[in-house]
Amino acid sequence: MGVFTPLITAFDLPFMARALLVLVVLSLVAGLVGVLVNLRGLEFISDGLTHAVFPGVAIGFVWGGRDGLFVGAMVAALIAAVVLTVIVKRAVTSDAAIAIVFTAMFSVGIIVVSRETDYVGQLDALLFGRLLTVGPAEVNQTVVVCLIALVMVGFTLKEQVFLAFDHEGAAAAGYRPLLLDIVLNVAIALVVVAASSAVGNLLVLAVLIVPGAVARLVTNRLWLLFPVASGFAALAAWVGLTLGYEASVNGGVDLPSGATVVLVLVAGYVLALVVRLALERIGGPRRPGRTVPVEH
Amino acid sequence: MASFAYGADPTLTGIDFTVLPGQAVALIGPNGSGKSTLLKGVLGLITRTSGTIEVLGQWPAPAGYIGYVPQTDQLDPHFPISLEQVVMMGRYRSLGWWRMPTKADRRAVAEALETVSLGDRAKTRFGELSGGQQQRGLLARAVASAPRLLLLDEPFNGLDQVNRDALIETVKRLKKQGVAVLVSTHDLDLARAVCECVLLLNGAQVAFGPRDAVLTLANVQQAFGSVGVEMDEHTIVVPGHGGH
Amino acid sequence: MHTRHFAVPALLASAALALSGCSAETTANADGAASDLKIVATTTQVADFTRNVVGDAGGVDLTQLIQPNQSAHSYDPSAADLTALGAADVLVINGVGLEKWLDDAIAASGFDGVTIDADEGITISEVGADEDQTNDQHADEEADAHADVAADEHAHEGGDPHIWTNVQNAKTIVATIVDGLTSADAGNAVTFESNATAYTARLNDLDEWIRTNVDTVPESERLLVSNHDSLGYFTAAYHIDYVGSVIPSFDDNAEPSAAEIDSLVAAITATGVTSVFSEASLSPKTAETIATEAGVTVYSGDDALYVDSLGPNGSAGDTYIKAQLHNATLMLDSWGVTPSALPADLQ
Repeated sequence: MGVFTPLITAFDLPFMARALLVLVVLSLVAGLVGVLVNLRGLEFISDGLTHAVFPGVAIGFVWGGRDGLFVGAMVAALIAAVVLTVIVKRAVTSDAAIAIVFTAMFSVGIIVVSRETDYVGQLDALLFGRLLTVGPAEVNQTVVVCLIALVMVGFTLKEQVFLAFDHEGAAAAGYRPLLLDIVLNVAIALVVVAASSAVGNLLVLAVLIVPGAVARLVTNRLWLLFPVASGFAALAAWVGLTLGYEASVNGGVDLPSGATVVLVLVAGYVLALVVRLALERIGGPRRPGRTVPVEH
Repeated sequence: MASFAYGADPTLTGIDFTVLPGQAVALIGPNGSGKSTLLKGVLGLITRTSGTIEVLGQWPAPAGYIGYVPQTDQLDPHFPISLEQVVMMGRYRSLGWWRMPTKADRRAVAEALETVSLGDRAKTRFGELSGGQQQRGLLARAVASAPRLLLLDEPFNGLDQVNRDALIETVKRLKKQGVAVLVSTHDLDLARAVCECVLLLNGAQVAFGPRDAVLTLANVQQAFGSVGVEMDEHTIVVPGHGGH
Repeated sequence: MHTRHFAVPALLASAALALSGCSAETTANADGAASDLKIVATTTQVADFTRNVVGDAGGVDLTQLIQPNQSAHSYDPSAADLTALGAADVLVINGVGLEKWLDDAIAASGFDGVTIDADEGITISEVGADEDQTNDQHADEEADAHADVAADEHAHEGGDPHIWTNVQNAKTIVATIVDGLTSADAGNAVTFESNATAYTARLNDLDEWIRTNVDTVPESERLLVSNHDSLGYFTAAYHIDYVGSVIPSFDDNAEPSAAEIDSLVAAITATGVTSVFSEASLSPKTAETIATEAGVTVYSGDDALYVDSLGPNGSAGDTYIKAQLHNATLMLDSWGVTPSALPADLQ
């Protein structure tokens, strides 16, 4: 029991409970969206969105402080999601062009923040998140944003899967791929916004991509992918938070909470990969299933 | 007369043909002649630059009127989805957003799988099926959507004789139920087995009409742009051309 | 497709909400025994003052949040810090907007005790350096920029937060801390007050010693260039002319532009400054570059100033008094003065 006690007791503290709540809600949605990101191969677009949201966060922060930050992030996310969807659809630009546009936007964000007097502290918070000092108001924002993303994706889930499996077939069946793309990309953008205040802009990508990749390693059953991804993300959040808490309170080592959670996520991915490879070696190549590469 | 384009310039022009319920039209022409373009045009996936299309007197075709069987090589073989789940996609349109499949949908899926003789592979992951089984699976998906018009894109590519026979049987059965069929193919066996009419293409319509009237050596040579083309009972032989 | 799988995420969500809701309600309010006084202090300086006031008073527990050489600007509270804060009865802060993260930390930790704000009763200057520097256009521009910022914010928020660098301010801070602690823990009031009296006497000696020695330097030669604009209260108190800072902002991590470096080098050459000071908690790189360009000495490494943060245990600046002596001695050294012997209570 002893080793596992902190998994419960650490969350008696209000700030730990809030951090867990935020991460669990985030995990549920990020797992759902993350599986679709994986199935659609949208890792690159997700990366673009995290970059694109940043200047919105920065401008919003400079303009209206903490509340403005949220509004700015939302506006930037929605614009970026729609613009990105259309750019990709029109195929007028290459990956390189998208990458250039979004790193440029990221730079704009940094320049905007750097005009502030106390910019290093703020930049830190925006890039790396401040999971432990997430306030009750931010919890509400996160939950609401996540719920919107959840509804958007949940409402179109089977159609999204159809589109991911057979783009042309879905279009032939009468679905509007552009519409479904916008719904999914906006949902991704919402997850980016929700996750930014918790784990920070730089680590959002891990939250979006790793759970989906783990689910692909764990199961080949379509409708199991989603609960596996969400459950795995929530578990990693729980373990990561506990680990960070224990290290800080009893070990005297201060681990940044967001980064600790992300490391636990990645450790879980590596573990799943090793087990999968070992099983394939023992069981022979029964499934020709490739191991799923994770970008970034 | 209809024309179709991916961008500004039409890639396929002068199309004028009709397919009636219970009949099948074969689209025949060399690679790049516009067979897939025509199918996509009928699906409404690309721009029609001129002319009109009607599906059962309507345009755009009402949802669920058209069933489409794409080429299997466009699908990710690692996608974590079972055959049954692929076939269920044929029911999504009638299900609507958010709603879960009902018993009736499951029954329709099972029947569609029986139609293509894949009832025993329902739970198999789609990517693990052979090419022919995948092709039949996609046909089952189209069947499950109970279409009025069925479009097949090169359905014989890479299929062995068993799978060809199964495919031909299914298409025949659908025709008997009054389904109109449009099939692009290199394969004259398929054309002879199921198609009443042939549409010869080469960037434009070369000929359209009853199968035997259209499939003359002169027409085929015109479509394939080469006097070296030969034709026998089963196939069109094009010099330096690998297809059937 | 299986119907039930769609429902799973929703179920998990509600379960998780319920779970977290429960644990949030059973928040541990670790006030502890009535005799215990749990104090949390933010910066190294206010922690040192508080430590001196508390002395060996029984049943008092002091936690210092910011560790030596850690920046107060970009500090991110750890789980242990928040736990300590949540359990604390008294929180001692520097104020003047230095601890921007504090509101979030207080809200997150659930701290509901008394806050002692060290800036109480201290005159806050709007800019870092003192006002009689007229030869440095660059600093004036900075001053204007900051004045604008200050105008539309809370008066204190826009001010220079480095109040402790003036020893007179340190005395005020100690008085504020004593007031706060005695009302929070009346049982130890006598101890706190006698400790504070003794410590204030030492602060008086410190101030006296610095003033006496600085006064041996003609005012026109008391020139200072340091890493960032954080010594305003110190230079004002001892009439030192602050020529310019390496970092063009209150913030400790900004980077100077090429033009800013050029104008500082020009100011150094024009005024005859002999040295550039780095700060112990900051990278000395830019200061070294500027010193090299201007051909003057750079004080860095062990000879760096302790400003934003006191030094770690065992260093020359591990207490406020030692840090001030260290800084003053180095400045005197840069002006070519050998300081007088220290009074007994400062050694």
